[in-house]
Amino acid sequence: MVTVLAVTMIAPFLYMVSTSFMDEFEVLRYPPALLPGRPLPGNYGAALTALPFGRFFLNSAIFAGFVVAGQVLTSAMAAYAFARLRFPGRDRVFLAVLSVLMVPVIVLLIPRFLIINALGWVDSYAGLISTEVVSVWGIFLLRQFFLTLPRDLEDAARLDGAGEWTIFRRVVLPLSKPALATLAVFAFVDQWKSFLWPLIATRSVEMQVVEVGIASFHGIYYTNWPYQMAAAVTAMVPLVVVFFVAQRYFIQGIQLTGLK
Amino acid sequence: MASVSLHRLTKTFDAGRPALQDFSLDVRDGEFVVLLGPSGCGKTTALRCIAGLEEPTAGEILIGEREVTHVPPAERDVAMVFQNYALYPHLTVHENIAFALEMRRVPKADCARRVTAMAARLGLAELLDRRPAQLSGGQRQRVALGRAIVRDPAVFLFDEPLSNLDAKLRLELRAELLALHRALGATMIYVTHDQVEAMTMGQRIAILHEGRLRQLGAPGEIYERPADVFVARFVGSPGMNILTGSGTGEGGRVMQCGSLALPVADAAGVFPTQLGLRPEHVGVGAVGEGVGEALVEVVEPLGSETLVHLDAGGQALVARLPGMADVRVGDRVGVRVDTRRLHLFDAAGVRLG
Ligand SMILES: Nc1ncnc2c1ncn2[C@@H]1O[C@H](COP(=O)(O)OP(=O)(O)OP(=O)(O)O)[C@@H](O)[C@H]1O
Ligand SMILES: [Mg+2]
Repeated sequence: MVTVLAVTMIAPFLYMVSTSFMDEFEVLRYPPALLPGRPLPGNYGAALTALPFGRFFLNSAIFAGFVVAGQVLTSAMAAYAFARLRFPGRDRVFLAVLSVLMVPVIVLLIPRFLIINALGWVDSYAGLISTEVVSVWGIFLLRQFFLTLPRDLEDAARLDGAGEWTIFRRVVLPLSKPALATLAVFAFVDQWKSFLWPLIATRSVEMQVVEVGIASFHGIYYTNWPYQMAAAVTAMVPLVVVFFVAQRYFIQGIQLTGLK
Repeated sequence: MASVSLHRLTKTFDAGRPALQDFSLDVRDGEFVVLLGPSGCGKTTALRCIAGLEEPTAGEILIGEREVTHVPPAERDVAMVFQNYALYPHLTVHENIAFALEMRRVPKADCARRVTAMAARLGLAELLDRRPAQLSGGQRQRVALGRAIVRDPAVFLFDEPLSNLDAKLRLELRAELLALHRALGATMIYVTHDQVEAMTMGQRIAILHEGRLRQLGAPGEIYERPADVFVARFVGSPGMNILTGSGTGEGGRVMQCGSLALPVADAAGVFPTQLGLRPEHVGVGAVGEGVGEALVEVVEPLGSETLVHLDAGGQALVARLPGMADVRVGDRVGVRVDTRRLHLFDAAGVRLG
């Protein structure tokens, strides 16, 4: 069962990789070829130089990187406040924040654009990044995780003389690495694949991110599937890398829960 | 070093009856006091109030001469050892012990010296680089102790520190803790629901039940003169037999409890309705001997002694007999009682005389 599932999930991906090495007409043959007759690694070079993909990758990395850092930071602080600090109306404020999750992302695109437009940030990194650095989903995820941390640890730190900020930084955050890593990975994947917002927030080719680049590539080379697949495969590489790096923390997270 | 005074402390959580009610206690400087009570009686709540982790609903707390009811935990000079140790899982043993010193801005070299000395004292020298997950339960408990001691606090609070350990280790650490108390001369408040621990460790024992203080006294005093039926039953293993009955005979000098007729001297003119009798003061003999007859229901031979559970006309009582007693389930026996050792209680369960 698991194998069937795995195969159905991986097959399209493998076909994409395979296609990226084919020649332009091989793809269109009937019955379709599963493997390239003669692999053409040159597709990659050709595809990636057709547009300034180097620049696109840099833009994507800056965009996703800052958003991830921002989301992890803001989510952690807000989540800690909602999970542990005592202030009047805390749970009601949290519910209000959560209700934002119900607003469709599309609805927010125009207001967000108006804001960065008013600030003169259209077509800049500031414009791309600023409205993405708070994630309600991230706050929710981390709050739920913080609630599972043993309170005694925080109390022990309190008696040891630590203030709230020190407890947060020296006890809560290090113990939350698995949750932080989860949030970081999801946020990164989300931003890396993000298309609509970068499309709206940028104008010049220099500011385009990979996803937008691939789309415009499609416009230019719409008949050349191997080139498009080559660009798409390259765009996926960072996601795979991030996932494998973060895997360590996922596994560690399981061990930590066993220890409590 | 400091004394600790609780004055009419009350703590009510959001809903329901108070976890702690009008709890007053004076712990002398350098004293070892045990808070004893069944699960849910408010022991942890009391400790957390003293530590400053919980704010009392009413009442006040003094440490030394200082009123600290609303002072934050860090400024109370109090250390607490938690039941589940509460070691920082991501820090090594060394870092765990050093954490409090670091928070108090103790210079690095001084800090390292103190941690090393502490580790040597507690037999942790080889474990300084390990993380809590790599330690046994006993070792973890020692680290938790080290973390408390290294700060040199005025007052130590222990919340059932030995309850997660096996019997042998518990015995060992009990002795170690007492040695530590002698060596440091510090004020210690120790919470447990294990009355053997309380009897062997406490200079004085405070017995809590449903958030209220039932009795405060030296272990001997609590055992020999329990203030009420609850304390009588709770302390001792097994606890005191409590018999109910009514007076018969001239002037009510004999109390009929089931099939037993027990002579009682009436205390201060109030006639008792409940009698207490420690198992060691009950014996068995042939039918016709003693104060009445009973049926043997259960026999528990423990080697050095035998516990015999008796049914005396509907009243249950336990006799503790020396050695391996020759009694069988289903036997009818005569019950012998040391009548000078009877404890008298009124209808509400309060001690008479
Ligand atoms: N944070 C809390 N919120 C609500 N009720 C609480 C809280 N902490 C304790 N209580 C209640 O207060 C009462 C006393 O609890 P406490 O933890 O002091 O008991 P305890 O004597 O330490 O018991 P145990 O031996 O099981 O540890 C219990 O009825 C408990 O349910
Ligand atoms: Mg408790």
